[in-house]
Amino acid sequence: MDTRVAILILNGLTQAAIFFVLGSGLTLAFGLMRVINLSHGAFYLLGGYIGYSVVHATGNWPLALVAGGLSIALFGFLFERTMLFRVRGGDLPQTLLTIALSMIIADVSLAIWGGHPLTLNVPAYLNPRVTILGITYPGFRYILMGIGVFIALSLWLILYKTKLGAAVRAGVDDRETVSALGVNIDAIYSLVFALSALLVGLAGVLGGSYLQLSPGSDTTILTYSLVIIILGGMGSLLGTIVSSLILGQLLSFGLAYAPQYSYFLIFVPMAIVLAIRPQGLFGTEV
Amino acid sequence: MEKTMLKKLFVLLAVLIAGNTDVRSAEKEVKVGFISAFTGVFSSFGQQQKEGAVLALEEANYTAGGAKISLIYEDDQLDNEQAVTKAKKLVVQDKIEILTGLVSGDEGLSVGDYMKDKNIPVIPMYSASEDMTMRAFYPMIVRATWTGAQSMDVFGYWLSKVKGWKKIYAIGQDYSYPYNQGGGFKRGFFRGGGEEVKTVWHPVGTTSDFSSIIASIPTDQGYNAVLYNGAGGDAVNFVKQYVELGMGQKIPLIGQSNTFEKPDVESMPADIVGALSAHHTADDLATLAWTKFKEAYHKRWSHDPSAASEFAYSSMRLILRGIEMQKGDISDKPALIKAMTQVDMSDDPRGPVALDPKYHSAIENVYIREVAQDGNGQLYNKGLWTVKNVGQFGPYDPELYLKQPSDSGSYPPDTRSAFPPETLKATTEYQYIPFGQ
Repeated sequence: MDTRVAILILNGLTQAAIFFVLGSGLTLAFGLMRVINLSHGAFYLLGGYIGYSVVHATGNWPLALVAGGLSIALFGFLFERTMLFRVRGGDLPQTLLTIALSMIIADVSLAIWGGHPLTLNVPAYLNPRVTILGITYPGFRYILMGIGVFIALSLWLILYKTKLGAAVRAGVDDRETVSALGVNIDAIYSLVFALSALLVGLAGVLGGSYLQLSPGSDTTILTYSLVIIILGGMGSLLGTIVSSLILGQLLSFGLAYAPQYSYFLIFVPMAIVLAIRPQGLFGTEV
Repeated sequence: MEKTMLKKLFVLLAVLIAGNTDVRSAEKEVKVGFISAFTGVFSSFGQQQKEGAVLALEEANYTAGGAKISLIYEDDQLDNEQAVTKAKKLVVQDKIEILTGLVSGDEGLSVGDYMKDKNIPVIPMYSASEDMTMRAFYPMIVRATWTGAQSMDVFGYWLSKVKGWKKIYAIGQDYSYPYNQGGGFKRGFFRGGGEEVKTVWHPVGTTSDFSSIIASIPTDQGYNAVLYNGAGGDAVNFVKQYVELGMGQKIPLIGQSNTFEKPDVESMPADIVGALSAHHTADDLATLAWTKFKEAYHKRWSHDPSAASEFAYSSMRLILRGIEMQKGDISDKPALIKAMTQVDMSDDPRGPVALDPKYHSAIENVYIREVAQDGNGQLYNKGLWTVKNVGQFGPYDPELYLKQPSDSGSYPPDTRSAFPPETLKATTEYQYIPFGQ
């Protein structure tokens, strides 16, 4: 195979890994709670920034990944417990609340971390130049793909092999019955929202390490996340995997062959899917 | 009943307070609107711009010619529609008397178009699309800074004429300022004997991963260099990925004027030491004016200035000096414009600046620079060559120059052979003087 095409595919896979981590959190929260968290992009930015500060202070990248993820998980948990639960079921209040939160996060981040683009420094031991079959590619990107696969597997295990997962899946289908059966649905809501925040916090650190963080990336990331889950079908984990893979390759090849239209290109599958299958590739009808 | 009474009382009180402040502010006040992109992919430029302007204002104690100068800052998030909305707000609601700021090319063009009939001086600081002081010029515009093509013509000519390069692969951000930089670069490069500048555009600030574009650069077709014609967050990403994919060893990377500007260059890998670019400032200028400015700037903001901060500092000083010459009374706008064009800018930190009386654009030095590393490991732009007195038309005849279409995504053409030869005819010759002489 042509080296160039191989690199393009690898780029697409790296991008897909980030897309998946981004989208899975959002889709999970939506599937169960019917909440479109419009501060998802801001969570990403904040997680990345926190990771940046940790790397900057300690030089320890794995620690930054954990710190970025956990701090956003905690933040999301507190947000759900103190505010979001009050507007449960109300589409408009939820939308307004999460938009407001995203603006607050964006402005506070601007005040703390400034407007300059920042990148998390990846230590050399995590980024060796790897040559496989004559194709040289940054090792860190293989790690990103690995993390993406690992997260997908963990999510699958949690959702399909644990009691918690069973409750979550049941909640997706019929919330009332689940709570009537004695499951504490409130606790599950908070837990799922925290998990969703954990994922996007991780995505922030991962994304911030191979791209860059700057004010404004929150809205770009939110756009991507929405496209991913709309294409895949809101609430579907498998859908998120498939749509991330599609969009990753589309973006990668689009950038190579028609860079001018690459941004526009990622909306094409979404438009087609919305026209013929509005619930998304793997979504169930709402 | 009582409630309405209370309401009326409040209104009365409000009117009284408002009236009172009006009486108290009897001293002259000039309101200056400042629109820039403080967020978004060019936020670092917006921030630097504000810092430069504030430094000039603080040095003048926010007064000029006995008038108090007050600034109203607006963030347009690098969105042209937002920029026009903000301009409208500044004009209608705040009743500003001067508009400045403007960081990107598109921003300048759209705000400039809105301000056309407002009889309010527009002083663009960093917005460099040449049409603002060429095809879309009107007398209320004074741009004492630069156009996109100005530095790039000097750069392109030097690369082909002196270094003997023939082919360049250019990847750029898809909007007016890089078009203009690319246009200037092509004219200069072809005039000096270059043959091809293959050009690829990508959307601004949305393309997070450039590795696919980079992987598509042909390494076996004799390209002398890859020109990244973009800036801000995109440039940091692009350069990082260029190095990571091992392209640095295959084809050298060069930049447009802003690619390696501070502070962005400080987040780039040290592998790019030696990368060439051209601008109207260089970080190691040793003139008294630059040293003084750099020290004052560093003292105020605890980091180094960039071209964006210098341009803002210098434009704000121009505004202040213009108001000074009018003794603080700027009700006569054409007189203020006239005063501004006569302001002495020979003491400008980046080198002497003169204004073209016809198009109100700057005539100034261009520096060819390379990325270097200082003792602390920090990257900066080190001057190599100076060309003096470069105007916005470069070495070309203004009339012939204006006959060409505006630079765009598809003009000028990518090869010298597709270029009408008369458009590459120069009426003057650049003198490349070793930097610092």
